[in-house]
Amino acid sequence: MPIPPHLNQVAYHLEVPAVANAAAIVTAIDTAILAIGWTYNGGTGYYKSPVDAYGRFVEISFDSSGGTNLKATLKDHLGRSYVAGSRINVTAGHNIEIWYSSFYIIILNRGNDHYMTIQKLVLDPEDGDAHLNDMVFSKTLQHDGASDNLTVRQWFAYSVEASAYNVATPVVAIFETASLGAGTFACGMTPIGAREWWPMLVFGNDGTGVVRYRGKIPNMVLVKNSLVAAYQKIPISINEGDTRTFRVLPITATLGARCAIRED
Amino acid sequence: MAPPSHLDTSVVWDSILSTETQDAIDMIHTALTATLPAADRWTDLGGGLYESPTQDPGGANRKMSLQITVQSAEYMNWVVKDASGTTIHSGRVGRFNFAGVEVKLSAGPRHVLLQTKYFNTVDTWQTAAAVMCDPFPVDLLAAPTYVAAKTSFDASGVVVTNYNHPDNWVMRDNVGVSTFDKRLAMLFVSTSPDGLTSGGSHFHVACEMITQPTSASFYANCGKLTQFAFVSQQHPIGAVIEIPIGDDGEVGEFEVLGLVPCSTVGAGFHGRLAVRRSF
Repeated sequence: MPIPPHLNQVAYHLEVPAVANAAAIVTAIDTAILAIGWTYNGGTGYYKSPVDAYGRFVEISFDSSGGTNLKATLKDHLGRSYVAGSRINVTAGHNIEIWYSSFYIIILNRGNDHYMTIQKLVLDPEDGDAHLNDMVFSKTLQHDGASDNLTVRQWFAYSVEASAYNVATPVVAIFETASLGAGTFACGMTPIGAREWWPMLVFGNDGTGVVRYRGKIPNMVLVKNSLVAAYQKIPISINEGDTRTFRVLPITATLGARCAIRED
Repeated sequence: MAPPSHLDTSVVWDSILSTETQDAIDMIHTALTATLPAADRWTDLGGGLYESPTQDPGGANRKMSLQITVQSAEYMNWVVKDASGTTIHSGRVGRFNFAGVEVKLSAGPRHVLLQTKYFNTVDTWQTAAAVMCDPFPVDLLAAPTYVAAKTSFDASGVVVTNYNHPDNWVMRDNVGVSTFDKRLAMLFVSTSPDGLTSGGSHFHVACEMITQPTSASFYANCGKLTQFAFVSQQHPIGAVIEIPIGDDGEVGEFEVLGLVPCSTVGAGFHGRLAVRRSF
């Protein structure tokens, strides 16, 4: 069988130890993503992802001028952005980890667990142009330093009703059994110990009272919280005989679920 | 990409108006031994006993048997075993002889689902199932517990408690074999999807089965019910919906089963169980 489409993007991982300041993160990202097809979109710090078969892409621009914080502004293929922005704080000596591919970047500061993401959804099983609202993101802070306090269920998605990106409702579905109740997300393992995982199904507001499935977050899965710890590397089977390493992210767990990103 | 493996098996759909149990048995016999593609047909072992084709990658030797016999003109006996010969479930389905009973069948090499209801009345649908679970993407050997079954009546004809719940199934578990109300992992959403995707298709997710392994206190995921899907519970019972199942344009036709919606089983849950009608 083929690998499920939402787990079938080449996964890259980069560790940037003991950064001096926020600009060092941009320098590392610059080298990494330009090597896999991202392009400058106005010079260093401004990037456009590769364009997919349907003309879709994402854009990200960084501002490291503050020295002790890295700000990002994200845009989807229609040029729509989130005005409050994304931000992580940085202190000299912090270790940074970056997971990236053609259509996503996740930046995590292990020194304070601050993170920011930009991800273009995989619309499986529909075609990649089935709808327009295919970007999601999450983050710890807004540009002004205000905290978003998000969980693994809460991602910013475009609200047709509000004509804006917002995080008004949990947008990621959780699977549970009624018997085991809230907080006992699925079960975690198969009978002989292979790890259970669930796709991150994203729903979005398509109008008043209309919440619809948008797609799956690429190379990211939900796993059972009680069986993992933040930053733990876990093996996950993505196809018969094909097991890859995923990293558990320190995003707040909810309903018994944590998220993990494919690392190799 | 091709459809996921749990939706990538052949399917026969049939329906009749029955006047006695033998009518339904004849329908199942024809579907399993003649209508399915040759490579997917079940073996008729006689005495109403049928054996599914074997799934044997890596020596997995996964198969099941289904024995269907006339208990009376009103009821059919429904006995399901796994490859080891362990009886997963022995029950009854039917009331086939009341002024013409509507009988629906979905069958393939790894699933048989029978539904019956008094024709043109408000009667509740009766259900009997024998289904193999698909553990993809983990290897078949990683999920040695793989046969799930259910019926509306037990072997003595008593109505099974919660038989019309979508998550009420029988599987092997830590106490041998038992009925368990919570065998399906269901979609927990705080909002109510209207049944469509943003792209306008019908939304669906796989039906993942849960059991407790031998001597274990924890629950484990055995895989996805072959040719079943959760769809929005805004669809009524009997609704026929087309669902994209592969991104090469493959579409599968599913019918919503006569079971209660997930929200009846647990607050916050959403969805209805549906079975494949076409391949």
